Amino acid sequence: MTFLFQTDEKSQIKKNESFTKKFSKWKLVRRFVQTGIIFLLVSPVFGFTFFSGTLISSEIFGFFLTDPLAAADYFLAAKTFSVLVFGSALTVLVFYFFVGGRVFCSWVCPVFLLTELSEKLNKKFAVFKIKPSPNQKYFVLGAVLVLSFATSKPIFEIVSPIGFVSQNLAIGIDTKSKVFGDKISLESGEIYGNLKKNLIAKDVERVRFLFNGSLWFVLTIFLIDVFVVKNWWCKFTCPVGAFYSILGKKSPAKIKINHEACNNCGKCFKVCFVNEVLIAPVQGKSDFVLDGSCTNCLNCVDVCPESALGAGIKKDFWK
Amino acid sequence: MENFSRRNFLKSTAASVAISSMIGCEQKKTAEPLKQAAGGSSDQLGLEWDKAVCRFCGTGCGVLVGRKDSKIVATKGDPDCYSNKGLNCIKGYFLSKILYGEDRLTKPLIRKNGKLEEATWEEALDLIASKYVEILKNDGSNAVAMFGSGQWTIFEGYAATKFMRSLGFVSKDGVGSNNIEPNARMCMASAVAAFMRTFQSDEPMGSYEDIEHADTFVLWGANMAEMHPVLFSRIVDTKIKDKIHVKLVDLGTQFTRTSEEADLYLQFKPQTDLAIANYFANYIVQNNLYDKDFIETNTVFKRGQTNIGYGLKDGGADIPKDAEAMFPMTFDEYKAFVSTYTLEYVSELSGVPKEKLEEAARLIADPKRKVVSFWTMGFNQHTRGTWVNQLVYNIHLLTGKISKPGNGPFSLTGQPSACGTAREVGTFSHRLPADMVVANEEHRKKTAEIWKIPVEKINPKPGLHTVEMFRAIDNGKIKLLWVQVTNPFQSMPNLNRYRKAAQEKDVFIVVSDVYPTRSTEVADVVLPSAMWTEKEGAYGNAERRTQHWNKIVEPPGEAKTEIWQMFEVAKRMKLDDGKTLADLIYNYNPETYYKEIWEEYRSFSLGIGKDLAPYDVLKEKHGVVWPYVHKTKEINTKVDFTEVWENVENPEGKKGDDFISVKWRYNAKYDPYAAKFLKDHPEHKGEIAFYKAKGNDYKAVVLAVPYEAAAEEPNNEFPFWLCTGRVLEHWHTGTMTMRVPELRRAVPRAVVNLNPEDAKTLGIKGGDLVKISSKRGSVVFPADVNGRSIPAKGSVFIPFFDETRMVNEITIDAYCPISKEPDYKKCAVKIEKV
Amino acid sequence: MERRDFLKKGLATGLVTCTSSFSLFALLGQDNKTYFRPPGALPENEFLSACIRCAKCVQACPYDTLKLGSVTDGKNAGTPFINFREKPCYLCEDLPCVKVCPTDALDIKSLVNIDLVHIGTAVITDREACLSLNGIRCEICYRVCPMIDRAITLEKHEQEITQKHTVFEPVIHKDYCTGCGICENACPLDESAITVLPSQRGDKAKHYQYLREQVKHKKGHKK
Repeated sequence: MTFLFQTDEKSQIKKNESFTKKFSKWKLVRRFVQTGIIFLLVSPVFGFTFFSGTLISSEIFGFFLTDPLAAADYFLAAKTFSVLVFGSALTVLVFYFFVGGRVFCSWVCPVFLLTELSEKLNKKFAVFKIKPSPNQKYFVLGAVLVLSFATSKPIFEIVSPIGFVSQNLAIGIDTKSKVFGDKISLESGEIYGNLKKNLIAKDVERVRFLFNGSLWFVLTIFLIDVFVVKNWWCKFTCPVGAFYSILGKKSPAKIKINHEACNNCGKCFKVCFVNEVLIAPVQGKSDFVLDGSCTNCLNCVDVCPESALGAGIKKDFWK
Repeated sequence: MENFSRRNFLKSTAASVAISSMIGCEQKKTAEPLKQAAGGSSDQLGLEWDKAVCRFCGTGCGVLVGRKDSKIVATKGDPDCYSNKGLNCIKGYFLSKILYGEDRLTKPLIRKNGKLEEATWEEALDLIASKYVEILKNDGSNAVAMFGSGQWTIFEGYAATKFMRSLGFVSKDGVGSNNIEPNARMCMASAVAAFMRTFQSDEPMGSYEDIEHADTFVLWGANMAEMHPVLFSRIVDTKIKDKIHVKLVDLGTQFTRTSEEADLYLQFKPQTDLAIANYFANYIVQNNLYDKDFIETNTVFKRGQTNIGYGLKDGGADIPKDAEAMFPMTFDEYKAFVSTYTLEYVSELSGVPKEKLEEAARLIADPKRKVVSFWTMGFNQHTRGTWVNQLVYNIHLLTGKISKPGNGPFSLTGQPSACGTAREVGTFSHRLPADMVVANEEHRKKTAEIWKIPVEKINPKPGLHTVEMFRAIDNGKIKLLWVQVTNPFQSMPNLNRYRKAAQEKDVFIVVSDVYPTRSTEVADVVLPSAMWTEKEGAYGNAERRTQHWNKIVEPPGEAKTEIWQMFEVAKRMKLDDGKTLADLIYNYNPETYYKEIWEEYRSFSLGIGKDLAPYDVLKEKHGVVWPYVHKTKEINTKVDFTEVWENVENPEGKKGDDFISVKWRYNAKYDPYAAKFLKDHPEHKGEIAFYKAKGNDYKAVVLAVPYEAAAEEPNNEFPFWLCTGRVLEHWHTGTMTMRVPELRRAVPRAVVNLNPEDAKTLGIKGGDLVKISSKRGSVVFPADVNGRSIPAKGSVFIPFFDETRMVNEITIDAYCPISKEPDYKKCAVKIEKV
Repeated sequence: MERRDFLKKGLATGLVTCTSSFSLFALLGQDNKTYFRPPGALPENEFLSACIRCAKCVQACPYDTLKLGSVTDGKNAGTPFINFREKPCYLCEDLPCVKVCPTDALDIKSLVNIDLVHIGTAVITDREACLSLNGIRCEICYRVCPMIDRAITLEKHEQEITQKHTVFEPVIHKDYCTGCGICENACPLDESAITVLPSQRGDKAKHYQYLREQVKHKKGHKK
């Protein structure tokens, strides 16, 4: 069984001497975007109407957007075709193609925030140090597509932690009675009137959390991430990540490396979520990070003391 | 064979389960035998049962109340009560739950620095008494008022009227206050006025048993299917028994659940009921279908004053002085008067197709048919309420279809004791017990004699009626108002004005209630009260049946009965000679005061055809109909019936009993008074005698009054009629039924019922919020388009039970100049989608 | 070497991951609970295929009627369903839930008219407990029905015990019943005596017509 998991080898990079902490510009921007996405998902609760839906399917300013993997699952499961779903998935597809496929993971997906947290906790609390192959996710993707076709159910959407988290953000908070006053007015069974409420019965003003049991599943993933396998979900399992990895391979948006400036300090390896993608470029085999698993999180750019790494455009991306 | 026995088994189980579940909500669960509690009245569940009466509408359904561990846990219909024979509607089924709402008031509250704070009874009562004394000494007895209810028990109503009218002992002007009104003024004052003007005796002559005898039911603007569900169930049963012959005619302004069951539905424009009733009279006269002998012996024709105004100005300044006058006329003059109400004219005015009008007229006038007319608020809450009530009596008087089993005009009531307390006890501003009035010196003398107070203390000037009472608060003339058992700050029309007055004017408001309401909200002192079976009581229903119940459970916390509250306040009013007001008017034994009050009150009723049953009989029987007449004068009445006794039937007892409950008044076959009258007046033919109508030579009045327009009609700015009312699940302002979780879930809030065509024109869909506005304000309601009630095109219907959105903020406070009852059924509104 | 590694390790771990999580879900979704779907939903099996669990319908429901399945609902995780007793479908005329559905799981084409929605059919499931059938004037289910007098009508029988009153029996007509569940929600009993059950319409012989369909409703609506 040992061949299944390869234990975390001692990194070939030496531990670095301490250095003055560089201002993480891109990380700040990324956090801002991530928070923005969460606000976007919660925005309908506060009465905004420009956005609705979840990361599986949504509507923004009247434009439909659909997760391309969900669309594929739907076509395979329902064995049908829908122009709307196809078009809205294509919109998303084209967008992520040009910004770099796994930009979705590091900039948009709320599960990734949990992964980033779990990464930190894993350093302290990891019980096992199992490391599966980073290619596992492609098999999961394949299995999802095959199973969707075979069972006629959009298999991944049933279990998707991305779906669960965004569903709960979208509908888990209920302040309607407060915001809309009357809209929730067909409330049943409430006790009427209350002496403590100035002796008048009013519609109850409140914020309720209706989070459903799916979050337990998300928590389980988080715990696996912390105690068993570092980044188990996002790095090794998520078929959406796998899908965008494939898409990102040919994307023009890539991390560019300036070989001359690089001093092989290895800081980028420490902050990279999928650091195996950096091996080839740092060793000088390519000018860009070519592996699709790269999420374009720009952590390496932030951390590079020599500014050897930077966001770049690969002009001949189709090759 | 196996099949057969299995089916039988299933059937018998089903039947037994059906019966047990009919009997009560708790008994259904008789899975395991429970211990047999001691005492004869308890059953295998350990419940002790006692009789009581339903707390809601005027039907007066008898109920049995199941107590377990000092809590009422179940109610079931009382099979021994003649009014309902063991059935209830859904409100009655959940009756026990009204006692146990989460927010029962259990402590007196006094407003300090704008907030109600808990206080002791001593504090609260001292404060109230000192306010009374202060205001009575400074401003006189006209500056205080009491607003009570048709839900007062008879005992409470009697104690209240005695209290108010005896305040002369304290006040600077030396006369009592007549500013006492029951909310029944908003409920059936028009019926009272019309009964008094026509027969000189209040309340219907018939009985609910009319339903089994009649074959033609005419419902005037009464949605009995929802508002009097148990009675309607009897009507439908009569219909089922003879599907071809029995007819139900529904006249109304909206299609209701009653219309759905009706054979003939006449949808008329609001207010044109006046014209339709006159058309029916015209039809009867023109086709010679009137009972000539009956008219000659029993009726007198009169013409009413016209253009009598609407009471829109404070103090009734727009009402002519002689609005109540009636002038004699001949039959021929009457015939000429009604002849203007032709089929064509009335059809055009009312919007009812000619065929339908004629068909209804034919049914009503048919000499072979037995006709009962029912009505409630559609007639009573009407700016010509007294007229329209009388116009229906006209129809029954012309055809002689009155005071006979299956024949009669029957005014239903909306409250459990509108008859018992408001009308019989006389808690109106102009009345005294037993149909007497303060303006009559003889009446005052009799009252003073029974109350053992000097006659000068009783104020001969009628007090302010309801609308004027609340206007007087706004005008600063009333300084103290004690509200008991009712919720006027939700139920008054043109509510904004009166709520504002209560909050801003210098008026001290005391509210005795069981739950926080929209009235306790504006109160200065809130007194927690005992309700229903938490105290001994008696109610009188629409068929003159008085039903008594015992105190069954203790009230919660420090809650006390209203009667105790009045006793205590009276005890704190010191007179010059060292006595207190309570010593003079409430000189009862603390152990037996209910019996003493009853017997004192009963002495008003004896010998005048209003005879009430003795206390012990009332306590024992499951409802007693008055007049409850004794054979000889020695026992309790002043008249001797021995010579006619054998000829009078006793439907609720045996022949030869010493007491007779009169089911059909004025009918010599059932009413000893009528039999005696006919014996004494041999010239009076037939078997009907309106023996109370002394002023009209013992004749009932047929009144000629015209159609007159409503106080406010739709116009360009406000193009819709608004009608308000109730729904089956909730009762009045919902303070009780909205606290029953099951009823609240069934109908959680008031909606506005729209005509589907209007909704389409306005682009309103079911569930949309719409703003309904009148000159007086605006309220937002969710719309209901395909609902249980479908108003006529150009009109909307809104129930008034919802305290979170009060439709009375937009209703008009116009009232009938004769009965002073406000019109909740007609005003002009506009509708906007929110 | 690299390629073999890729295959071996990826395949093996992938299989473990997939089988364990899917069998977990299969276990969770074992019960036979019926899920009532929003208006316009495809037949259940097709619906489960077509619904991509985006929760937009749940978000769009103005009354919070639609609930979202969680992992404990197995294959129904992420799908919308209605619990009538908690809150019924109020049949919004503009169908906000159907409009937002990106796939055809909620099919707008099937909904020419909100009155033709067919979530299920109400049935009086507890005749012994039903208050109306016991002669109590309840009939709340009838009066709250948005298709009053069509989906639910009252049949009248004599009350056998008093012989003076009527039993108003609520009778449901499945041609009109939308299965909105307002009746089930409103039933005042602790356990609703009227329940929405899943059903299909039009399961009578195609060429047969009942007498009542041949003879026009003789009473007609009296409005």
